[in-house]
Amino acid sequence: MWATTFLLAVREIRRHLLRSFLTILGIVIGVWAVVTMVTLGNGATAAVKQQISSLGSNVLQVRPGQGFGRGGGGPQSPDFKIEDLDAIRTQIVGVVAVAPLVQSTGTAVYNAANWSTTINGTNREYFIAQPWTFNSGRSFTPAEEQAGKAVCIVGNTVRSRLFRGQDPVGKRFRIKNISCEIIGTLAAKGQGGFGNDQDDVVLMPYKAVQRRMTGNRDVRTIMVSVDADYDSQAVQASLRSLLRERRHLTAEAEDDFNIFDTRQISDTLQGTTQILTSLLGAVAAVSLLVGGIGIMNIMLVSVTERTREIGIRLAIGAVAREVLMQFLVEAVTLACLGGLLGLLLALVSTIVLAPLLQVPFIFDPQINLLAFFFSALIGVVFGYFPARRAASLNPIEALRHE
Amino acid sequence: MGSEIAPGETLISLRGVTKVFGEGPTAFAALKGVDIDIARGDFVAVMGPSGSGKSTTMNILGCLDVPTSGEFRFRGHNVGKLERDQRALLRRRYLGFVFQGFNLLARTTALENVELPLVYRGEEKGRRHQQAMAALDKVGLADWWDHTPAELSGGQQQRVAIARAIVTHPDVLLADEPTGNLDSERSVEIMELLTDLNRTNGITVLMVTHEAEMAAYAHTIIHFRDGLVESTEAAPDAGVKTAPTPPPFAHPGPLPQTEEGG
Repeated sequence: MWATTFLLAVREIRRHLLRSFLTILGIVIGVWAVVTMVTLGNGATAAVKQQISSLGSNVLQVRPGQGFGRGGGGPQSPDFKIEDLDAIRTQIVGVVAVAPLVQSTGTAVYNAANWSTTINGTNREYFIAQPWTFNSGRSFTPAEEQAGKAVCIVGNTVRSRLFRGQDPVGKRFRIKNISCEIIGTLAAKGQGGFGNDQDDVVLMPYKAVQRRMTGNRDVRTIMVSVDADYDSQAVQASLRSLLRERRHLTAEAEDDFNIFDTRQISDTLQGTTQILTSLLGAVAAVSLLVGGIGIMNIMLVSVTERTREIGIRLAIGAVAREVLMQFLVEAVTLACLGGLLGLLLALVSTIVLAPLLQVPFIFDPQINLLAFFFSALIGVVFGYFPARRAASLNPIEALRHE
Repeated sequence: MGSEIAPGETLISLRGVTKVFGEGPTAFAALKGVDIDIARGDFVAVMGPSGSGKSTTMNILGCLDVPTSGEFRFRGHNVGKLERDQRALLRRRYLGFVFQGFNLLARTTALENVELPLVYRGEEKGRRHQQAMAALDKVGLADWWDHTPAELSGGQQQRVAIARAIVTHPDVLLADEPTGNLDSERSVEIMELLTDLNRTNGITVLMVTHEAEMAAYAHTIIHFRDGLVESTEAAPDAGVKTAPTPPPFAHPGPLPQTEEGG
């Protein structure tokens, strides 16, 4: 009986292909919207997570200046000195690594190729604070670091721009007119949180950059990697009071530096994208409801149109429940078809859109199943009323219906 | 109701049946106290002008409607007291319907139309095909099984409808002006088919008609006028023909139950 009822529904749908398609269009669009929104939203969340974690998962970044965007330096908020790093290393508990960041930009030249890039001066501990992996070669030695030797570790973009396929370790190239020996190459990390290319970088010992490029002893950024067993809030607090003391700030004065907790930023950003995802999903779910009303509408029309058929079935001896099931199964089949079509469209559009929006494509079986069952549920809910009406028709009047 | 009703015994009885449509001042009494007895194996023609109550009577006899008062007994069931679904089950089990307008499902093959009552009986596909083909064969349309109503002539459509009505081997065939939409040649074919079903299969036939030539095929003719039975006459050559013992597929047994026991 079930198989027969289902076949009957399928046949009825095939008879009115265009109408059936228009009927389910609301569901199609609803499921499509929900699944696309949520899938892309999840992708965005994952992207944020990944980008933040590429900053180092448990890292405090200390910069001079007040507030976010404000640049450092200047008389109000001087850059740090390398002694500040030593102080942090020796006086604060729970610190795993402390790395300076001395930035410069310049053109790297190798044979005929040249490439403008960022030069970061730092130390070995940088590789503890930042999740870099080496493709080849090695990190700085303490001696190189101490002497400020011109040795370079190149990021993937620089490597591919200047050296194409070859491994440049051991070769020399010129960077900002300094001849530099390449001692290592870094594995690609991809795009950063703000759309920047993290691989477009050359790393050198900070002393080399200070001496030969920036010409001063300033350190723009300090990266402090916190031991996972320690409370980063507590470390942050002691770091703050240490720096205030070292920068001779009076009790009333505001901080002339700021500390970013990457984990905190990560949590905030993830929370934001998740809220946005649910919000978009909820808006899209409304269109699913509208789709359900579309199904109810057409099913009501269909019941009226097929009144005579219902009369025949009732006269032949169909009980109310059988007629009800016939129309209910038809509505649910329509809704499920709409759901499937919506899922298919969502799959195609997320695969196409994800790279355009620069978020990873993550297939989430849960939201797909949920959307499908929800559309089936809508079929049941909105199909029930028309089916009920069909089942309660008076056979005599139904047979007389023209 | 385990007992089988023998040919010639009363299968259907109406006692003081009335039917009133509407309420209050607009109420209209379509039947004003009808008494009818129909024996198993009879071939009854119901005649009368429009508005005389013959259609209302047929609806009640077909278990499609219930009397306002009075008693309608069919196979011992007091049909007036039965629920809608129970009456549906009576129709499914014991009744076959033939309509003036054929009432076949459009865009559905003859075979599928004939199979329809078997679907509701829950017969499995193989048996459904076999029984439906047998019924189509009986009405002489076995070769037309895959044609839709639109591809069949009026007479053929009515024969498909008859095949659909008899595929379940009903006790009673209710025909509402079965020849009303057909020319006289096709009408004769249909009447001969009904007569044959009555004679050889022992099916009790109740037929509404207003053509005397068609009524002449019946054994009993009931005339209605103004909601009452005006006269009941035996057709000249008839009396109840000794119908053959119902074949084994004439279902004895109690009122069938729905699957859930409703």
